[in-house]
Amino acid sequence: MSGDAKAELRAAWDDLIAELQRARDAIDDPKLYAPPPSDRVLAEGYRYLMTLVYAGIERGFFEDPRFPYVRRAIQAISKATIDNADAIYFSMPIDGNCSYLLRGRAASTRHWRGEPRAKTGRLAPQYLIFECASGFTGDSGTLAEMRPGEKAMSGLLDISKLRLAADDTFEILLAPEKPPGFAGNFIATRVKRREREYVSTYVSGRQLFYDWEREQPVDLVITRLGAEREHPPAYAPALAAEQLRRAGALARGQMHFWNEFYDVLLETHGDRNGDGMRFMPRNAFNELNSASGATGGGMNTNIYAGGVFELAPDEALIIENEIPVEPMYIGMHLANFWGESFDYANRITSLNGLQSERSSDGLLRYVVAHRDPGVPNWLDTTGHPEGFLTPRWAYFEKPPQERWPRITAKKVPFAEVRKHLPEDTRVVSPEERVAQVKIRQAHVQRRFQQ
Amino acid sequence: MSARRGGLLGIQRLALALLLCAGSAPAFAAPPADAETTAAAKELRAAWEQLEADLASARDALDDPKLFPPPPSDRTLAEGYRYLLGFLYGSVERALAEDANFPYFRRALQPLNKATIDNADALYLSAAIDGAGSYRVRGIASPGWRAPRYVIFEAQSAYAGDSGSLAELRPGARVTTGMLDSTKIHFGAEGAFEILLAPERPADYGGDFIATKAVRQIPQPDGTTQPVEFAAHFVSVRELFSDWENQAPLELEIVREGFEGAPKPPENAADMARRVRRAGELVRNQMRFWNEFYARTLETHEDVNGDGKQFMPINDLNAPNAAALATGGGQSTNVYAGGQFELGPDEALIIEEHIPVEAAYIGFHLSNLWGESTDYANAQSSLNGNQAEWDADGVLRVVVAPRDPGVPNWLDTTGLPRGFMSVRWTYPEPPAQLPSVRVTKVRFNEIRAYLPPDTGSVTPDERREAIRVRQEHVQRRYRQH
Repeated sequence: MSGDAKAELRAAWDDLIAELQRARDAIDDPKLYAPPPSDRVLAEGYRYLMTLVYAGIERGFFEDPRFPYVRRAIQAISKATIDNADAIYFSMPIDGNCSYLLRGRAASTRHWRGEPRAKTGRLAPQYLIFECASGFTGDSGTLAEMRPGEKAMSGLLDISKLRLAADDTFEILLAPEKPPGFAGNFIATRVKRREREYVSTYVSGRQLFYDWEREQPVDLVITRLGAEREHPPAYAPALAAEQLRRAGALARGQMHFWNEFYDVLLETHGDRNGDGMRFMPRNAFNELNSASGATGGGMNTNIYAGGVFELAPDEALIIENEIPVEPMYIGMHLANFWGESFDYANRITSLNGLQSERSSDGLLRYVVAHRDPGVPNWLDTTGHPEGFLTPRWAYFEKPPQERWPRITAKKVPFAEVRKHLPEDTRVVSPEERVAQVKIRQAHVQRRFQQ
Repeated sequence: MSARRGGLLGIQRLALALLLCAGSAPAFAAPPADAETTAAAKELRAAWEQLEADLASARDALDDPKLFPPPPSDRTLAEGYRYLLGFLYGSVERALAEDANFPYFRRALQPLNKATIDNADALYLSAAIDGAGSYRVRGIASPGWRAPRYVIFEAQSAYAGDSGSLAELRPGARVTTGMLDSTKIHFGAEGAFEILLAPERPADYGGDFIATKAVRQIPQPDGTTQPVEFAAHFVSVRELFSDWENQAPLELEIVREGFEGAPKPPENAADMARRVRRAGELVRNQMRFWNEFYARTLETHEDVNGDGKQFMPINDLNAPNAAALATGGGQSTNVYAGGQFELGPDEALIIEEHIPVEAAYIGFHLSNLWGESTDYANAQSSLNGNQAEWDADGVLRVVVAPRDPGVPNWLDTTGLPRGFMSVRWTYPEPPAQLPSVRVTKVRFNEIRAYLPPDTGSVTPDERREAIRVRQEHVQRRYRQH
């Protein structure tokens, strides 16, 4: 053995540990945009840090565009980025100069074709989307990566365009260019914007679940075309050293980037740009806006709003949502200031369009409260005095702006919640709530099944 | 959506404005924290520092001869660091999510964190339980796929390696309180089943059952034996896949009775500090335990007990023996044989398995000296009884070689000059006669001379097809959902 290898690996290990320390500092160092501390914020901060280490190890050691597999980018035990509680976020590393075949198999997809959902049996998720982009948000550790031109999305495909075989299987070709005469499902992995070429490095996507009892994740398998004769080379110190360093850099980068994102851009903890208000207002919502495709904004038919709840033990927030045009997906989610969605398995901390009930006047009303108010659409703060509120509305065809949803919030004393709801609002019993949580617990085990 | 693509709340325009106008925004000082919060911050920081100290101590087991690492080489060291990070990966999940009130089946081992000379045909799962409570396990075959060849559930009082010391292999240190395998489980429509796990079988319960408490006669220092009650803390599952093309993992769910629909209490700093410390402790202990286990119990590097031989002989296999705690435990229905290959570039091993009693499952596996199975997705480095071809005389012959000899049943060393070989035969009931094995080292270019004359040839295209099936299976076994 070469003494160099031993020393090089040791040095890489020391670098990994140093990065973990820098990541840790973001939990309680105000210079690194740490949220205001409390016992629980700190406890969850360390949990968040550990899960970034967990994800960093997987990505550092196993993201190989030559031999990709579909990994869970976010899951119940590793949450971040104000994740959607209805989603599986998946991700695969690719080299956009190569070609890949992605194959899938879904349960009944009748609802993807605009038909009524199958009455019995398992269903495909409410929504599925794939996106190819030239980067993974947050890896750099600094907001500078969001400058225009840094990254680009080369292609996307969702269920509105996806063609399936009669048995609900599908294939998608991912390649730099569409081969002449190719008529199947296709996503471009390379794109030119303003004379610059962007080569995608990730395919990522989401499966959104509506019916937590019957919807079943789509099976996905990815293979690089022409790779069947190739084998990964024998493992060697130089690669191990590089992967050790990358695992640490990813954990640190993600930790630092999102802290800065939540504080500086979302102005979660105060007005930062001096315009006299926060981007994420307290007990209110900012103006609705749509994701822009220009810099690669997620589901480009999505409409978003955001805010922060801040509630004393005897207070509640009543949210009223008017929806002139019916979206394909509606979600309302709560998250802590690390961007971890609240415990959506064992608590009712999220509600989608199928799980929530409309009032008799057609409005969608949610009640954010620390304890059960006995009304429909309670969102459980799980005792957090403050946290993110993130409604999501997704459309295949976005309506004109004057027909977008409208959303407002009003803080009320907990004892007066019913006064602010329509008189015919029904009572939800504790037994019914237990039954709801039971469905959630079983669903989350199935969504992230072994 | 998340902001994974920078799309959160359509923030791009705002980001742009801030970055172009303000450059880097200043950080704002937080208000001073109260005494309780300051104490929590201090306690958590101390826990984190302990985690780092444990990681440093675990790292030492990679190259400090006193901690029993294998003899160093470039590849051994490189794989050692990967192995160590695998323990950190697994330990983070265990420390954060093992909760006997809200259990779920986690992947105990997977390509990301291989260890313990794992079975390349197995999906290893584990759920934390409290043996005093009652649990329901519900399972069903994945829609559209065949169930695995064999499945076994075992309730155990401890998790192998957690103590960090070989003392946990002493009689009575770790027991299996109950087990149930797929030959005993009652399957309903679509392969659905339900198992009750409880301290005792309820009088009126006739369904599938696993005991989570057990009394065992344990030898005492004074020579007597005493009854000792054990409670299970984990239920482990092995799903063994023989047909990699058509079998997929079961869907499994576990719930603690009384906690279905119950809210989970929130985190607090004191609990989190314990979890952070536990993550580090698990990494250190698992690293140390298995190093010592391979060196001292398996005698991988030399004869340790003075009987003139190594338990894992070089270029040979030890006599097949039933799983036993003294040799690390393992699957309780398995017969194991183990040894090591040590081959030059022009050498190969031919291994003959004589199997007088048909086994429910047969597997032949290779691993490196850290106990990580070789790359079984992208190389044919494992073979089970279904994948292997049997010779006309009823003998199963495999060829361990560093390159493709063009014969059936090649096991690819993936270039490792030395590594573990393990053979597993599953017998739900003890067989009347154990299998036997014979190992012969031969020159690579003389392999055919040691095989039956009617041994076929395997073309590169057939090998490529076999690898394709393997790669797809492994993606399916460790699916993203």
